[in-house]
Amino acid sequence: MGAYILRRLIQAAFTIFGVMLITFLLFRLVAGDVAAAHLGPKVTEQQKRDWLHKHGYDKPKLINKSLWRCRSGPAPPASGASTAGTTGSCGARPPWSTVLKSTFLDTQFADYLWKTATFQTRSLITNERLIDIIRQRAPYSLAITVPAMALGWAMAMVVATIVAYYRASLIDYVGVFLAVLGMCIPYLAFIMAGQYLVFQLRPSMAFGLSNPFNIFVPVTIAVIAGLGGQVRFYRTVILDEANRDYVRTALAKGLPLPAVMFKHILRNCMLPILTQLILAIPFLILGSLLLESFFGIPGLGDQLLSAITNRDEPIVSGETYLTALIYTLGVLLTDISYAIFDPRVRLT
Amino acid sequence: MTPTAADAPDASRPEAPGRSLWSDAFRRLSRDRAAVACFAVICLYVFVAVYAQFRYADFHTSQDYERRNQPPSRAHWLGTDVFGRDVLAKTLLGAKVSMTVGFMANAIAVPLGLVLGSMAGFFGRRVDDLIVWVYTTLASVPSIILLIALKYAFQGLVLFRDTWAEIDLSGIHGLYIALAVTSWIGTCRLTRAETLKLKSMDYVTAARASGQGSLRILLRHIIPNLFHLAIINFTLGFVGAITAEVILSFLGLGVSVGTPSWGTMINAARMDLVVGRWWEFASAVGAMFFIVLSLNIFGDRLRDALDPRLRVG
Amino acid sequence: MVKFYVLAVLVVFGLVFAPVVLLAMRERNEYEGKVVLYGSYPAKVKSIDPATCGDTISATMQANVYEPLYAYHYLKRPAELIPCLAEDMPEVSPDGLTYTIRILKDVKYARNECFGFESDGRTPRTRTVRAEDFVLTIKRAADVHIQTPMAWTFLSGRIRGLDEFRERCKQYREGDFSRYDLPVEGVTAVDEHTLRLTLVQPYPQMVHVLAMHSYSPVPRELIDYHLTSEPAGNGQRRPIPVAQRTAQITRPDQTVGTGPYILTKFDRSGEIIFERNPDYRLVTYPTEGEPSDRQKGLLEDAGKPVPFVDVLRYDFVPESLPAWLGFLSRRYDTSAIPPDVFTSVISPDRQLLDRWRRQGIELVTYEEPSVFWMAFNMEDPVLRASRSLRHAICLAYDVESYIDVLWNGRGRRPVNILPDSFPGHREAGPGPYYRYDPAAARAKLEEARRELAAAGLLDANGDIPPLSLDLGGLDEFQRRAGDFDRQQFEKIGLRVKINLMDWPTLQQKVHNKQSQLYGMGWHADYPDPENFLQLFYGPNIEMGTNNTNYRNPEFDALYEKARVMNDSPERLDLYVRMVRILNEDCPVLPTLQPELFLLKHAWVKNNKRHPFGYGNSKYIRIDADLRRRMGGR
Repeated sequence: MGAYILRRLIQAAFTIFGVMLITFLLFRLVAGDVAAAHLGPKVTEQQKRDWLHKHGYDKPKLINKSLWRCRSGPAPPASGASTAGTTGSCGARPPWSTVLKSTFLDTQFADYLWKTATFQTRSLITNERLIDIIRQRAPYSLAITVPAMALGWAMAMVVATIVAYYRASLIDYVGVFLAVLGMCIPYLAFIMAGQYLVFQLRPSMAFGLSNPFNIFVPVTIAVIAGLGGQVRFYRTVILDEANRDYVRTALAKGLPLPAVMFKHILRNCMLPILTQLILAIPFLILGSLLLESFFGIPGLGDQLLSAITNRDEPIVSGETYLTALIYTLGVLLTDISYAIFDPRVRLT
Repeated sequence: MTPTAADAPDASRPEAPGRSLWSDAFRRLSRDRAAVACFAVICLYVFVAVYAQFRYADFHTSQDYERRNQPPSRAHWLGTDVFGRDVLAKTLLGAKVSMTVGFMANAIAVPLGLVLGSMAGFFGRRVDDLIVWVYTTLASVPSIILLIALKYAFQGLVLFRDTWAEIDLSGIHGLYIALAVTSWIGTCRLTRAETLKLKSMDYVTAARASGQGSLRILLRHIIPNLFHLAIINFTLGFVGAITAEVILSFLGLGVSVGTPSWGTMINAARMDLVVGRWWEFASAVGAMFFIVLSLNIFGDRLRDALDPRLRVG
Repeated sequence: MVKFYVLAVLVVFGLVFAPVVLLAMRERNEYEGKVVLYGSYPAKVKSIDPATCGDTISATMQANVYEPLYAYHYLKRPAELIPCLAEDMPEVSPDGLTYTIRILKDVKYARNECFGFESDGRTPRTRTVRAEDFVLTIKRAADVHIQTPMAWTFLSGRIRGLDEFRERCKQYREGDFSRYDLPVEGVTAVDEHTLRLTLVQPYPQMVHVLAMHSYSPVPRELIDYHLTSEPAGNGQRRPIPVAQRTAQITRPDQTVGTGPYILTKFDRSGEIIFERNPDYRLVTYPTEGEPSDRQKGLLEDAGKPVPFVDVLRYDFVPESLPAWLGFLSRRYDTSAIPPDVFTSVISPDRQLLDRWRRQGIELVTYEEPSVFWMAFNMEDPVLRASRSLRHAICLAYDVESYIDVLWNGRGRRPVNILPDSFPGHREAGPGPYYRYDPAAARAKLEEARRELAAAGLLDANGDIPPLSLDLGGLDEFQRRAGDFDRQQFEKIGLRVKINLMDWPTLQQKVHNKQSQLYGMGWHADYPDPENFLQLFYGPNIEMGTNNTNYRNPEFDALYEKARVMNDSPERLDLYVRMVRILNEDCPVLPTLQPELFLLKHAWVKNNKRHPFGYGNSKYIRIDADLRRRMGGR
């Protein structure tokens, strides 16, 4: 048991490192001319270089070989501005420990790791701290996603239970049919049609949070859009459980179906269902980009989208990293609790 | 379904000719009316995607500024768009984008997932750890963020410029590369799990005992038994690709300007609904709906048909 | 078992309704008894520092807080300059090189910590504006360490000693503000209330430049207090080491201006709140204006002290549909009209439809002194080699349809580079190629083919090589515009690839001269044609403002003569000749001179948009009772 937990922890650590590497590579290697994007095109080369230096973008990205030259012979004269900040005359031959430290620690990636891990990330544009941005905007995102998840779960459970109960009857067929239909309508269509309807009935609710109850419009749309898929999934889980031998035994022994359903089947279904819900929690915080943007909710999803459009790289990397971190921890916790609580899980 | 007594071979029935998984699946599918209907719809869409190119070859010059934004009428069954072009033509042409994106994205993602998943499952240990690490990492980034970021990075990026292999990433090519990057994970996971199961099967153990090389075993025994998973994932992944194209086009990150696609039609209709112009929105959503529905149902039936546990006789 | 289900239901209920409760607690109305204006803005505010102001959104916001020497009369048209912080128009020496400006004597800054505290230890102090504050602001505009694209553009090469000052700034670190003590020959404070500027050569547009908010006064105390130390909690301050200082104003508490409002909340891409400045001097609503103003009710508040509104609250709404819905649901007081809903708001004869008028909404239309165009990169080999190709494109492009289809007819076809309200527009006349004539376009295309063949620029099949058009923006409007453009080119058989990209990417491409054809425009900074003509002056290519890379020695010679002349018929004649040269050479294809259609609710009074002037929120009056009665906030 202990060995298993240890292994999973190490794996999780590697995954988190991997996430940092990916977010770094994606957003920095492909970011293009960051300085020009932020300063505008009319600045001079010198201003751009100064800005890059100020934010640490002029260091080498992953590996800094500048001190290696000093080890291998007389140092060549410092080259141009491309590696400004870390070149310089060598002086005495530096010891291996210094060279190794500089190779890995004097790089953009090292800076990035340190800043992200210690939550020092700041926006390139407004210089606000990432934590402050999150603290300010997360509640709005959660205001949509948490009720949507709770309500969606409740409604999907009810519908799936009814449909599974009346399996193979007309109710079942109609229910499955509607669920599949719901799955096939694009999410965007739900949002746009929903907003249109609300706009016709009560325009003041179609946008913004002037009235706190307006939040239920995006919540309802999120619930309805997701209902089809959830109902189908829950129905499958319930039916899989209902096909098990012990259910057949219980029914053969004369227990009424409702009692079997509520007492046994549903409770045993909770585990996979709740697992799925828990694994979705990290993505709750980001909110739904589309819903927030359509309904003017000042949440994190909308802010992330604008950070991407504005090339605010630290914010994008930071938020992506946090989501990935929470997700990884969530998976880790679920795996470990499975190992502890579910005797059927074999520890491989 | 647990095997029942009827499945056991017994003397009263002559040995039924051995059927491969494929022919059995084919037989079952061809008897399933829903699956046949859906397959027909899919074929119809592919046909439309090709046919529309010829029938509406003049679409790009069919603008008529006098007849903009007209509701459905006899001349234009689905109305006209902002430049006076026929919405029906646009919808049918849009099928090409969706079919292409769905096909190409999965044609890259599924084989990739298949190869990596089988390698991970088969070779185990370091290879497995590495591949699992890669896909767990990718999976923890919300895919829509990944897609958006990739497309942003692809703006104006052209690979192998001025050669025959020139790939302009800012348009549709970048779209399916980005989609492939985000969707190979599902296939990989499944094939890895399946490979782990296959690895412990008798015939694989026998092959190893007889000294066959790992690569040969992989190619001859494991991968062919994974094809059914590949096909299922391809079919279901198609849906994901089409939906993703719609969302990305909506955000302005989809196909390049001038290419008709359902995503851009829905995007264009954002404000149309508010003023009661429903036809462009309805056509695009309708077209999407039917192909997604057919793919979903067909994929389900295919999965059932190829599921060895459900074999009868 | 029952317990489990009951618990589940309770949890679901709680989770569903908790957010509503939390949200209700947040949206408290903190402005009891005060009049509030609610607005939305579509793009993020990039700067709250006068020196770094470079875009209209930032300028609109900044103008509530800062005031420059001169301003424009709110109501009079054509635009007329009036003194703002200056006592009177400047005294200009006969050679046009020396400007002596007297400053109003008791204009106070808004109270701020940087001036110290009153005897009670808590109320911040203030002081009056002095001439040396203007000297400082001009030095900051020239400061190399501050990103001052716009503020520097107008001063570069114009004021004696200022360029040398900029060079010397490079030797100082950004955090070393002692560079502001360096003397500049051409900018001096003769005495406490007199400013003297000495120019290198005559610059007739100088007063217009001084009416820009980039040159609002900045007190030295602001730099010494806010940029060298930071709050350390508990009202204490700790010094910032020189290496970590920034020379720019970035926080609301650092904005110290003389304007009618104080910036109290600034979330750069979120809520922005301005509150009335209690120490604002007495400024009154104008008593005269255009002949039609009285009938529009714009003179009802003549003579009354401004500002009328106590609080300005702006929300960031980047998309036009939500902004529009916000306006309709009475959340915002004014709004533009999104193109897609246009026909359901405005009738074909350009009036507001009745169903909106009945809701108390009113329409106002304005002409903008701006021109949008498709620009040709004159350093591109193909475009440079063949003037006929440029002519062909101009003749093939159906501008009237462009305005009709994409802009709902909200604008006019520009027939030359100047807006039609500018002097010289009518006199120069329409350009011979700025009209729609597909037959002539095809004829020109044949000539173009010959010209390109002679230059060896045709492609392998002997056709004109495909062109590439870059547009700035990834939204639906740009897509449509791109699609429309493509249709225009394909009409005459030209192949073109449309590339959409976001604005920073486009600007970078244009700046690096990598763009062949691109969509651009120019919004006039002041009502002098020189503002448009300088976009085609050769030496401005290095400066960055001439992004078409157009170079014509004849044009340059005329420009150099005209730019030191005061307004006169001779100068107008030079302008006309320059415009006609551009009409022949066609470095751009003008596509639109826009007309703004704005909607406002009945409770918004005194709303008149000024083509060049900012800072007019102070004249707006909100009838709060009427708004409440009509269902607003």
